[in-house]
Amino acid sequence: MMNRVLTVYVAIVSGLMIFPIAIVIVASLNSAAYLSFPPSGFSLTWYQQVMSDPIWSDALWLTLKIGVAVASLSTVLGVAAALGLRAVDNTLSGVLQTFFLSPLMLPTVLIGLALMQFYQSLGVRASVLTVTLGQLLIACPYVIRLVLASFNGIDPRLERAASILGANPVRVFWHVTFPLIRHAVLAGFLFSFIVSLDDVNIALFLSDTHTTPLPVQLFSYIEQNADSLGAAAASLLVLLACLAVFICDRIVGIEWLFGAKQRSS
Amino acid sequence: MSTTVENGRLPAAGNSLLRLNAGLLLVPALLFYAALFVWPLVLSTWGSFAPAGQLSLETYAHFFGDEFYRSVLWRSMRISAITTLMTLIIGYPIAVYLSQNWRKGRSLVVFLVIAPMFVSAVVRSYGWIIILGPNGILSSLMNSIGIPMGHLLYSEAGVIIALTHVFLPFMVIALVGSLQQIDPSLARAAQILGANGVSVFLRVILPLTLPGISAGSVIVFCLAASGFVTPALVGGAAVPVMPYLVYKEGLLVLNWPFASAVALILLVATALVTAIYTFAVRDGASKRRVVR
Repeated sequence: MMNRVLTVYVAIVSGLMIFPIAIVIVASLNSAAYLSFPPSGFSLTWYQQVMSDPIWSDALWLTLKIGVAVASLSTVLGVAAALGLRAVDNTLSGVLQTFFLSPLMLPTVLIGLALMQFYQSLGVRASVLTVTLGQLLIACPYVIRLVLASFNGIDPRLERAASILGANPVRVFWHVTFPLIRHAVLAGFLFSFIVSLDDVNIALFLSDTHTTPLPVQLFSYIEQNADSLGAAAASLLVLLACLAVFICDRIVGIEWLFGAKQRSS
Repeated sequence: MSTTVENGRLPAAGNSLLRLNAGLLLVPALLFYAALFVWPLVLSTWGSFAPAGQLSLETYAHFFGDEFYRSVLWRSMRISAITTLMTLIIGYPIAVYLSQNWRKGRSLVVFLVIAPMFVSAVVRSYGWIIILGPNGILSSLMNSIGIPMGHLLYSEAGVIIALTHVFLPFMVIALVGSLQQIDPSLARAAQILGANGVSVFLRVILPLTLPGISAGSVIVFCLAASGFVTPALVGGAAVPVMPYLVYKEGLLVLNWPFASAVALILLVATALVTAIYTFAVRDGASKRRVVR
């Protein structure tokens, strides 16, 4: 009895969770400019308009570029930092971990605002680089956390054995450590990409009219008009996020979010 | 062997050169954080305390001296607290379900409940605009079944509904992590000793998940308090919250010292609330233990 109640409840909440996203996709496929129920007809014209309008297609292209840049940089920086954290003693490692994760504890608008003031004081103009470096701050902590967690599953004797057998530190990393943490590294890469894809707060402060990523462009657009064109652009973002989540799930399993053990390789 | 496997870190014996080299890998991240995180924050903080070049509390006096700004701070805290409570109440049963590995539809539920977390808040807020708007699904539905109802767009209730949707996955993740750590034999033992379902939950499961509740609440509260997109789109200028004020003062009014002050006040207020909350939960938990 309790079981059935729980199942029904979970089904209802699951439906409600997906509903607001589904409704945006329905709106984007509607032939009329504004959504009404029932929808007036099926059409892909809004997608066509989004892709043919340089304001939107440039924003989409820019978002992809920034996303890949943020993901690559945060993976390199984060993996290096995690390896470093593992090598220093416990107390220092604890303090530094808190420090590295601290951008996630601050309001993102504060980070965006502070960086904007900083760049202005240096006379640096808003560009792809300023947005990328800004988002790097909120992406890198995830990589560090994921990679650090994956170290827990490693038997340190493996690395010791390799180095006793004469492998130098680079070879130990490349042939022993990296294969053991590669799932976490890849998850960190994809997670960073998603963070960049979702970010408005930082990009809003660090972009100008020539370098507007899709989420910021969409935000400004929806503030003014909630029509089917905006829904089509929003659906493209959903598609990108789905793609990243799908790959992430294939590789590491979405379960790693629960902090449970990772799927073994 | 038990001494070296702790935390998966490198064994301490020998190889100090390797350890030193590996420690150097921290340098790029430290430099990056120092230049583009710590320093800008220092500058911004300094700016809020010295709007005209010399030390003054002018911006803070301006904030706390104005009824409107105080009401914005209060609204931010109120909205975040209610959102946290909503995610906890709605999320707990979901987390219980997800922590039971034998459930058949489990992976589908994981996908439906957790995956929306990865979809941009702009998109999800847009969905809520369509649902809550003047001619939206909710009011049409209510009117068609004979309950006349205005729309919830640009209202505090609407913002709370949308925020609950946006941050529910974070609460569920924190709770599942904590529920999965409970030894199932504890619940069975309590049952065998004659406890019914309700008291097993209230006296065994719930106390054991307090760390998860506490962690999830802190995460959701912080995220809700610093969330900008959802209140801005669903609430707009009618429901101004602290991040909205930062955005307005920073990007539209261009009063940067004041914008910095608002952001810092938000940070301190959030930290205070979460610290008091965490302390209260821990205190409550330890008192219970003493009573037993």
